Amino acid sequence: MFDTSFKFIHLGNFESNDSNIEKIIKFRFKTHKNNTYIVDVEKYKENVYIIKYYLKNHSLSENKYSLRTNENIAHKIFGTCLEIAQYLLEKDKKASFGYIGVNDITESKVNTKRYRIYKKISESFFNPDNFVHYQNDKNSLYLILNKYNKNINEEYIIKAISENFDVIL
Amino acid sequence: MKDIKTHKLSRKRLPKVIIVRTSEKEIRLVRVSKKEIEANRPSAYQYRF
Repeated sequence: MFDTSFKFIHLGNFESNDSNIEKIIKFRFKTHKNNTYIVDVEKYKENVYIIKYYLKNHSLSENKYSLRTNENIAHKIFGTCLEIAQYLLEKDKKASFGYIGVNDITESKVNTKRYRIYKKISESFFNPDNFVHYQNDKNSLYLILNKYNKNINEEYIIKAISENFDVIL
Repeated sequence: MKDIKTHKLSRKRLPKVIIVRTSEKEIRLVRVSKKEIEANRPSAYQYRF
């Protein structure tokens, strides 16, 4: 189901104002309806990458991660994000990944619909022999830590990520 | 003849739960076991990573 994807372009690496983020790696891809999506991959210390995407037209909105596009191409967008994860892993063998399944505007932040889908994808494609999976349903937060990276400090990573998100107590 | 000692490869202990406390927040991440992952995932898919 997630084996199809859109062709993506690496736009470049950008600096972040946040000291926890080493750089932001930007990608873009276009859908068959010619809508452009931006994928921002935030690289934290210890090779942790947080993948975020939104429709370019929504880029100025505060709710850009929450808004629905109703293009019915979610599976292909997820497939593209998996391709980007593959691209990052080829460049960085120690890469770990994480995400927050952002809530819809009318939805609570606990165990969101997006989170449940992303979790299913993570369980389907990231082999537990190579990656350690951690979940937090309350904040819809999921981490996939690369076992190849033995020096990873999970606590530091979670703290850094949670500072950038509105995390529930 | 010298004794041959076997050394276990140093393996990082994987915590089952990670609790992170900041001044305002407490976040508890639970490790998803291999068994749980295998049970949840569709068997038709191959691992990619």
